[in-house]
Amino acid sequence: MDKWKNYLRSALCSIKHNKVYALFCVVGTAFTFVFIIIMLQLVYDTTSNKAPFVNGDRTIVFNTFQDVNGRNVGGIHTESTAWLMERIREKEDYFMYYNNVGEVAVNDVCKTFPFAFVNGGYWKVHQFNFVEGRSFTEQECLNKDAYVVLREDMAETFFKSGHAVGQKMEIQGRDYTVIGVVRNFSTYATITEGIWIPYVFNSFSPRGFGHYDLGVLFPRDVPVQNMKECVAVAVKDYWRQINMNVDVKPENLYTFREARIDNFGSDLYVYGIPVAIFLLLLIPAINIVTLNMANVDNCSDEIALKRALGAGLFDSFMQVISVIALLVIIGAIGGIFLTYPIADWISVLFFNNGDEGQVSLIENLDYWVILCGVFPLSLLFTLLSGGIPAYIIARKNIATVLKGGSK
Amino acid sequence: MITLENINKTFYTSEVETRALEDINLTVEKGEFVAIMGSSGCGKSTMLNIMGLLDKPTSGWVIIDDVRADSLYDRDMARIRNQKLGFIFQSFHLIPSLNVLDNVLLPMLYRRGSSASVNRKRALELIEKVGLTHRLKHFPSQLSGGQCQRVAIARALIGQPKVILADEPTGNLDSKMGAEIMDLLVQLNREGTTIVMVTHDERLAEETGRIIRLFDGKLVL
Repeated sequence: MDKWKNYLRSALCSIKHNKVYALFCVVGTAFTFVFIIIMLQLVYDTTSNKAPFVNGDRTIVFNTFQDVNGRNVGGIHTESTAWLMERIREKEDYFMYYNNVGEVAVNDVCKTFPFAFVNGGYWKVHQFNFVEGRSFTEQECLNKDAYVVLREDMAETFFKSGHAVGQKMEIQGRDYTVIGVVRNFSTYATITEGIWIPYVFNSFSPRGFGHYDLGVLFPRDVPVQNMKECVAVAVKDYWRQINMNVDVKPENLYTFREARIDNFGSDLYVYGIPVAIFLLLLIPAINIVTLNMANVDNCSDEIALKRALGAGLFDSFMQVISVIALLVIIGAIGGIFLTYPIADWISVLFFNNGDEGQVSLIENLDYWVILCGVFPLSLLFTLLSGGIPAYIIARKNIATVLKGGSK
Repeated sequence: MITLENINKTFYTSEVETRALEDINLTVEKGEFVAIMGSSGCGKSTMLNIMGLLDKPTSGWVIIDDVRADSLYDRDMARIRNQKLGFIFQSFHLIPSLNVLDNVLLPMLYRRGSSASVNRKRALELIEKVGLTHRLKHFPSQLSGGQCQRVAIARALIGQPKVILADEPTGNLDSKMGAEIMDLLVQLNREGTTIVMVTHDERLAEETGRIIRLFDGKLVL
């Protein structure tokens, strides 16, 4: 314990005597980690089963198919969706999803927004966190109850003050009543709409496709391969019924999570992100190494003395690296605090058009990202930036360094 | 206690090869107070550094307590430096960020199995012995040269070493303070500590038990 206290005290003293260097390290590390955290959080948002996509691994999704000649034959026709779903064995529920863009009017202000037509099962497959109100049920859809669910930022855009639930809004010329508001989530995870209405009001205009994106939810104990086979059998049966030669293979079907990863490109996750993170670490690390090398003489005396008094090479190495580690920790913590404002700034600057609310690039920072991403990468960054200088200092000849002399 | 056998040390630079020590054979016995003398650049400090395992000889053996120490692994040499040797340097080499007590306690950080409370008690006793109890919480920058050297002596003694190696311990002090430090070293030797001291002050050397003279890297008989 005393040894660690000693490392810390020496590190603090070194920082005190090299304030500009320390500031450079901390600021450099903070900005490095802001971009690393944003990247890791986006990876986590798009690849994990976090809310609202908690059932990503037990939902099989599909939309369009190709016949044996490779021609696009579209998706499952709306009228046949219920028929198809009845034929999928072991299914727990399913969702229907169709995105569109249209006029949305609130209090005489009319703008164009994207919105989605969904069924009641959509709210069972995806687990949204409701800020207020609730979702609409399948029965309410069939009853043609004109309800709408909004994302939090949309509710704030339309109804700046007070509660949104119970308020009226007009979408494509029809009046809807706001029934629920869901908490914001990263829109980069897959879904970009912030307005959901019952599918029974879908006139397929102006897009005109007569089919929905479909997702079938299975119980937890069903293996993924079985899920895909169940869906493949039913879908193949559907195409056979309408005399279409469509070969539906289980291996060509994706879970919702696989589809999201595929949407961004699996190569991006396997190669792109690690390379980008490595470069983000390497470039500032090289700068810090360069600075450290210039700073080596400042701590050589102390290290040589400690070695003369019995410190081993490891102790000496730890002594030097503790300075860098302390600066990196401060920088990484600074990076965590800077992540939200910088992510907001990036969102406003590059992604949001101002009308669609203010969903940030990152809506919340998961502790998994900190624990499994930031913490080990901080260690790696410490070793990258401090390892070489620490090794050089620790290996210096004790007698030669002490000959220089200092109080 | 410490034996140097056929020690040679040559320093190499890109242009010059300098023989600092040539065929040094020397034994320091337990309880001795040995002064190493010679003109500037004759190899006194180099010999002391080799004795203290702070530097390696180009050839030859360093034997400490019947163990050949010059070819040990770094961690074993560090253990010998920590447990068997105490160092006093001309320029004190105190750590500026540590107060007197922590500077004295420093070698004990690297000794496994030592009790913090026992170490602290011993450090306080040593600080009292060198007359600095009233400066316990002071930092090196707040002390005089003589006081700094007293702290360095206390630090050298904290680990109860078998040998103290002192490289011109009075070199940076005025004559009065130098005499005080020398008195302290003589007292320590009388209490049983073996001391090897590099000096070029003839009067100080006369207070020791044996004088070894070096000339151009060779022992002068």
